[in-house]
Order: sequence, then C-alpha cells, then structure tokens
Amino acid sequence: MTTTEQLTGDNGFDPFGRDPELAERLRPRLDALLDRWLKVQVEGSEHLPTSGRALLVASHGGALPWDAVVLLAALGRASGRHVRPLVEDPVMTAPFLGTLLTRLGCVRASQDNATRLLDRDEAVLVFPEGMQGLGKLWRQRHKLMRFGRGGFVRLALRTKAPILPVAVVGAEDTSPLLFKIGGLMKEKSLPYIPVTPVIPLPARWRIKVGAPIDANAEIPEPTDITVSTLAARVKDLIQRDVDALVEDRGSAF
Amino acid sequence: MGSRKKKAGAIAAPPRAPGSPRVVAVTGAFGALGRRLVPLLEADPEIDRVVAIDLRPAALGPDVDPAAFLAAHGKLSSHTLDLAGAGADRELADVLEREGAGALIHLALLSSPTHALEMAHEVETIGTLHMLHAVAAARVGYLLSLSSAMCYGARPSNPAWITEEHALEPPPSRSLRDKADADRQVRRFGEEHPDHVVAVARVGAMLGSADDHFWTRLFGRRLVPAVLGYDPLVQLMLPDDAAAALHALLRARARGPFNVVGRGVLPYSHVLSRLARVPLYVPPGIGRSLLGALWTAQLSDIPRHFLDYLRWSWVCDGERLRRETGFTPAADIATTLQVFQSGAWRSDARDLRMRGAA
Repeated sequence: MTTTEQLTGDNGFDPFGRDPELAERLRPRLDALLDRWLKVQVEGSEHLPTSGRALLVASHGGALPWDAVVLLAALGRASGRHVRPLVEDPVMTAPFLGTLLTRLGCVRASQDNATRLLDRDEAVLVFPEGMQGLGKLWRQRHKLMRFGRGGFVRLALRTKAPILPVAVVGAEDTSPLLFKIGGLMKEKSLPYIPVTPVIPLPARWRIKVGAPIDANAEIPEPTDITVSTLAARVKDLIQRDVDALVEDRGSAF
Repeated sequence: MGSRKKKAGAIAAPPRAPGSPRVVAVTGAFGALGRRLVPLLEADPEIDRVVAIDLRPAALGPDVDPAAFLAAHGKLSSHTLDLAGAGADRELADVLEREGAGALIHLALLSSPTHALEMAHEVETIGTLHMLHAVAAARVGYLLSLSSAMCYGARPSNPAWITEEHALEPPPSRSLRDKADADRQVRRFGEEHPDHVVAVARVGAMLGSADDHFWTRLFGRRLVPAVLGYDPLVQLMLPDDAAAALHALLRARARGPFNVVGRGVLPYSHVLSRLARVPLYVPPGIGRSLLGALWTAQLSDIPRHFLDYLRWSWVCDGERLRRETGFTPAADIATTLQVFQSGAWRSDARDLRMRGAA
C-alpha cells in the first residue's frame, strides 16, 4: 500500500476529511462533555505511543456511537495525538452524523482505509464487535460480542502495528438501547431503528488502555485458527478489564 | 520504446512497417485537453511531428484561421475526421500509416453528459472501436486513451482513496456506462495485443478556464446543487495539469490504467464557499427525482445520478502516476480554485457551450 503523505494538498486538508478547525472549535464542548457530564477517567494512558502507528482495539456499546467520540477526545487528550476511530457503515453513511464524525476524525471502517491510516503511522481505533456492539440491548451491557473473524489481527500483522486493548465502560449507560424496531428499513441501509435517549445520559465512564501486544511475535506463522484465537484472547482481556472497571465504578450515575 | 516482433503470416495483408515513436498522433486534438496537450508535444524535442485528428478544423483557440495556424506550427499536421463515421477505422489507419505515427493519444471523447445519447454512444463506444482497429492495422506501438475517474462510481462503500485496481462500476447512466465501456475496450485491447503498449488515463474533475467542461459549467453558476446532510471530499485539477500528465505518461510509455487527479482534497462545502457560490441543498431522494425530471425535460444538463458524486466520496489515488512517471500536478486544489475564480474562464465559455468533445 502506498503512503498518502503526498496526497495532502498544500492547503493541508486531511486526506480522510478531518477538519482541524472544527475540532479545535468543538474542543471546549468536548472537554466539558468528558469532564463534567461523563466524568471520564482514563487508566493506562502511558501505554499509548506518542508517535508511530498503533491499533487500538476497544469494546463497543450504546445505541448511538458516543464511544467513538468519547474515545477520540479522551485518548487524543491523553496521548496528544489524533486518534482515528473506524466507524461502521450505517453510522458513517447517515446524513449529518456521518459528516460530523468524519470532520472530527472518524473514518469509515474498511480494511483498505485502516491499512492506509496505519501506513501513515496514525493511531487507529477499531471496534471489532461492529454493529453487533451497537446493537446490544441494555440488559446485554458490558458483555462483549464476537470479535468478528479477527480482521484486526490480520491488519496488525500486515502493518506491524502494536495492538492496544481498550476497555470502555459507560457507553451503554449513556445511550442505552431500550428497544430495536426491526423490519421497517431496507436491510442494507439500517438494520433496525434504535429506541434510545437522544441526549447522552450522564453516566460515569471508565476507560482502561492495556499493555501493547505484538501480533507478529505472538503468532509468527499466522493461520485462520491462530488469528481468531489471538482475536479471542484480546477479547477476553478486554472483557476482564471491563468487568473490573464495572466493579470499581459502582453505580453508573 | 518496446521492441516488437514481426508476426509472419498472421495477417493476409502485406506486413506494414511500424510507425516511428517520434511521430505522435492525437485524436480530438482541438478539444479542451488537446488544445493544451498539442503545444506540449510540439515543444518536446523527442517528437518530430504531431498529427492532429479532429472533427473541427485546425486551431488551438477560437477565432484562429486554420491555414495561418498550421503555417505557424511547423511540427503540426492536421486531418479532419469523424471517428464515429462509417469506415472511420480505415480512414484513421491510412492517416496513421501515411504519417508514420508510432504513438496515439485518444482524446476524441465527450467531456460532458449530453442529451444526445445516440451520438454519445457512437462517439464513445464506436469511435473507440474504430480507433483500436486503426491502431492495430497501422501498428501504432503506443496508445494512451482518455477515460474518466467518474467511471468508478460514487458510492458509500468506496475506499477513501480509490486505486486503479478498483472495479469500474458507474451508475446506470448511459453516458458514464459508455465511458466505462470504452475504458474496458482499450484495456482488453492491451491484454490481447501485448506488442502494443496501452495505457488509460482516468482523469478526475477538471476545473479550468475557457472550457466547456462539466465541472467548469457547474461551478460557473451562482447557485450550485449540494446534497443535504452530505459533504464529501473532492479533487479538482487544472486542465493544464491533466494535459501535462498525459504528456508524462506518453514520455514514460507507461502501461495500464492511471488515475489522473488533482493534488489535495477539500470538502465540497469548502469548495463552494471558496468560490463564493450559494449551495442549493436538496435531500438525496427528492433531489434525484427532481434532477431526473429536469434532465428528461431537457431543462438541465445535470444527469440524475450526478447527485451521487456530490454525496459520496470518489477520491482517487494518483500515486501510481507519480511513481511511474514522476509527475505531480503543479497546482493544488486551492490554487486550482484561485485560477478558476480569477475569472479567465468567462471570456469565451459561452460560445464553446455547444461543443462537447474533450
């Protein structure tokens, strides 16, 4: 894959659509959201590399993708760099919302986009649970869904980026998915209509960044089996951290 | 240039001598791109003769007398030919052979969507077919054919940067399908005739001066359509840079498909605000129906599916062109917008309005 450095014009606009001016303008509001409303606490930020490529792998939850925004702001603040969350399709293709997330630094989730970002030495954040993560009902909260078939492990192997497991607690409480109204929309555009508060509820968030994992060292000869085994191990690691964070946090509100 | 082996007895006709690489033919030579490319070829010391082939009489600008023009251009010879006409393949082959052309740059394609769908089909598909026959018959060693980056289609599943390996999936619009078909024809010809070096230039949106180009016309209005809730990144390039890119591909005798796109990106809304244009926001569904109705009634020159290109990203990666030819566009998108905004395009855009060819 080629580098995209020379693709950036002299005007300096990000090749993936991030708007630094808008991000700067929204920063006070995002800070207020993080500190005063969601009381976000980040552990293990020393594991975040201050430069070079990194693949952050996070748990996913909440009916609306608040976790992408919160992680972008919180981890960005902690590491001093722009974290690029990869967000799944029905969200990124939604009118207004997709554009806003793009301007903040989110990128549509695809192997191609992820590879390009990592080759540019960016810090990429993925949610391997994907839409399943967002589709968790309130009673399924804090329980990680299947981690796909380990696409993120393949990505890390290919780009030689370290995997950083990120446990997130609070997303499901801030934007609980109460019901799913299904069968109304075409399957491709939106699988269901979420019934959820539009305003983020002031749940307390806990984020924990784990120690980096070198996929190439873990599985020097990758096969489909070893790749999905490593993916499952990363998932278990994050699940353990999530459970500990839930325990430690106590009440959500 | 690549060496060629004679295939004895393959064709019944007596073997013809291959053309000289120092003679370059250009179809559609007096269109917006050709008018910029021909002077570059004339100035190239490695080129002895430029053979201009066009429907129109010889002139690199409006209000120029063809005879005086040719007299002033020593390297240039001109042939008036309709590539879509019956027997055009043989006529073109004769011209190429008589001139001894060793390279052909095929620009005789439409630069804008048109209501004349039959004519468009003839020009794009049949014109390309005739051109390929002539290239084979006259044993022209190098072929560079114009295509459009719009042939990839604009859709949500596109990668942020489309590379040349990406499938051509144009929307169900006749004009773009014909373009994609021409692109495929040329590439297939290249696969089936390995003794010819064949390249395709998929040129992105161009915004320039004094041209009847789709984007120039679109951004020439005060009120410009935009899709409510969507704001994709766009690329724009000056036609001068596109012409220079074609020249670079010819010089490198590059092979295969190439994205030829502008340097840098901007969100569509930023482009409009830099040009001080007023966005006319339409919801995607209604906008499509509305544009479709206006197009059908021939009240608009914007096809219905065009709205997809203002809704989803179709940004292309021009890295392959840079890597294989060393070429990068001189102007980035900000400069391109400044050049356009300087107003040079207004002067004779109107009388070029009815001409369609690139």
